[in-house]
Amino acid sequence: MRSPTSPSPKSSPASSAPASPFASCIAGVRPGIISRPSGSVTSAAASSRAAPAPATSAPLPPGEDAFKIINIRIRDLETKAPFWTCRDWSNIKRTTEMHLPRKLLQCSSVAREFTFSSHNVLENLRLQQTVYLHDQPIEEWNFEFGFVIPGSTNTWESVVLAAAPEEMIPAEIISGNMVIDTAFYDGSALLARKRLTVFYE
Amino acid sequence: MGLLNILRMFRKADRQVRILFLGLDNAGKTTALQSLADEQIDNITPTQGFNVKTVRHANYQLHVWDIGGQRTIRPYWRNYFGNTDALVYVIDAADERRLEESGLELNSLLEEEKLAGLPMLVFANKQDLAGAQTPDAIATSLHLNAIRDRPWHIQPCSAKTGEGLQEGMEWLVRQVH
Repeated sequence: MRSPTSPSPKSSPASSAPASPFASCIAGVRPGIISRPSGSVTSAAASSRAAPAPATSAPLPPGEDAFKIINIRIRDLETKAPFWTCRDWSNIKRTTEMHLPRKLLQCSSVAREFTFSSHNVLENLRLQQTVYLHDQPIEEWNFEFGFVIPGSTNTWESVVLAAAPEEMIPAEIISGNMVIDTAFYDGSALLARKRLTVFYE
Repeated sequence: MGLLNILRMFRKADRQVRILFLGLDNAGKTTALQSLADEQIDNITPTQGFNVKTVRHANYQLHVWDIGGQRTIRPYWRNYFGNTDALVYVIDAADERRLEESGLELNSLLEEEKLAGLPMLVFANKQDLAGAQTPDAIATSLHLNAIRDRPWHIQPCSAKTGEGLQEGMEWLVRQVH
């Protein structure tokens, strides 16, 4: 159906390591925290783009982030029970710990959902997520959202089916040694980035 | 889990399938998608952007996009047409007053080059409400029978009760194969 060259969401394992039913999340960070060679700030970069459709939002109040992660939820899809929810990302550090129950590793499917808002129009929002085990990349997950409406609030829920039990990485090996690095970009401009160290308890 | 079943049905086809849910505000797009995914539907608010659900299993992925239907958002719909494999158009069958408006939006979608030839499922939603129009009546009002350039199907459903949703999606899956 789709030409192989078309831009589309894709997932590619960084190695042959088995997939883990990991739970990942991200947070909005203020542009100033992120070091970029260009020194440009996200809001300026995005607002300077020509919007294909009308509508610009009201000016952003001082101190407000143009791109914000509002909510992140990790759930067992069978029971719908949330394992982990984070609603206030404004004050947490760039690298944080995520403590998850061991029973998550027994779930047949795990859903991770995040809600984010963008003050500005974005032409090519994409997410890049890399899972590291002992600093080695074991899984990479890219998703291309593309266009984001100015002043919009959006959600993305990704359902991941667990690998077969014999292919699972034991909790003892993962806990404290697995880092999920999630970054949002508009084109090549970094909007938000978060590193989470996963602990199973 | 409805979306997983739908993904499994696609397994002999493309490894990635993208489905777009469009329709007027309050047509029930988000409720339909939540209901298909066996999610709760009692807390749904008007969509102020998009909701994407991705289901992946092995190397197969299904991406369902639900875009807000408010008048101010509709001009942005076209930004989401690219790479789409199938279209789902949701109509509030109980809102006769807005049927014409819904038909106008549908017609402009049918003229979109990026959506040309794509299979289209029309959900005649809210059949649980008294006064909901039948699929035949809607097909007549919207001149669906004049569509010749794509496979289309109108499915009565209730996003609230879940009735008809799976049947509609099964039809759509068969077209994408």
